[in-house]
Amino acid sequence: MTPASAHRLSELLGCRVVTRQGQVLGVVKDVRIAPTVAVTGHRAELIVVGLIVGNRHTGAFLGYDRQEEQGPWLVRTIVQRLHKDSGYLPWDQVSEVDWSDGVVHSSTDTLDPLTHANAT
Amino acid sequence: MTASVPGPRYDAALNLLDRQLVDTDGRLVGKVDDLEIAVDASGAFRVSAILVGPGALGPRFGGRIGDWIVAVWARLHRDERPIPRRLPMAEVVSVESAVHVTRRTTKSAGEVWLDEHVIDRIPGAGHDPG
Repeated sequence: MTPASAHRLSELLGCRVVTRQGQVLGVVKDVRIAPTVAVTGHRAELIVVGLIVGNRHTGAFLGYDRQEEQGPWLVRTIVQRLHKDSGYLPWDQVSEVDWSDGVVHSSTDTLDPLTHANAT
Repeated sequence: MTASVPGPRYDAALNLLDRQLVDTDGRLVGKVDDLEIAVDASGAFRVSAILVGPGALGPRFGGRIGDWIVAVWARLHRDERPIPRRLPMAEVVSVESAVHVTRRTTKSAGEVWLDEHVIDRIPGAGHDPG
């Protein structure tokens, strides 16, 4: 049964990220999730801990924008240069998500450096 | 607020979307077409389920193609107001290059019917080439 206050990941992807001053930091390119102490079934529950924010999507779907070791070198270098304005917004810096307008309100004006999610 | 603990982090779109779903018998039972995110009482955004099928995939495409995918899926569905197939995260065993789930099958009733009445009756259907 779908929870009453449920949304889809795809609703969050593409949302504009806006600061309190109205500055647009970019759009949500990905959503970083992490385990909690709570266990449901076989695994720890996963919660949203941050957003990958940027203005370009080229190569992002393969992770070239955030994975230092991913080759080939030339592709990684080009993609990371294209994504030089991308960054990470920790979830505790998100003040509100306006689902109807597709806007994430950020309480900070700057993004953290983009890092690898360390999924494995 | 619910706190995260050390452990593998995932970038949901990069590490989960479009991954193959594999059931306990090793059968390929769909793909991760979207994730359901529930806002819990503490305000945390919790991944509550995997959404599977055209009803979940269509809105990701957006535009006319997305609308068309959802419209065809809804038209063929037996429910008047269909919702995408939903696999609770409690049924996820592991996330690797594929997502392994405990459920024996996540196929829709129509697909199960098709398997039982058509596919399984084809000579050689029960033969495992592996």
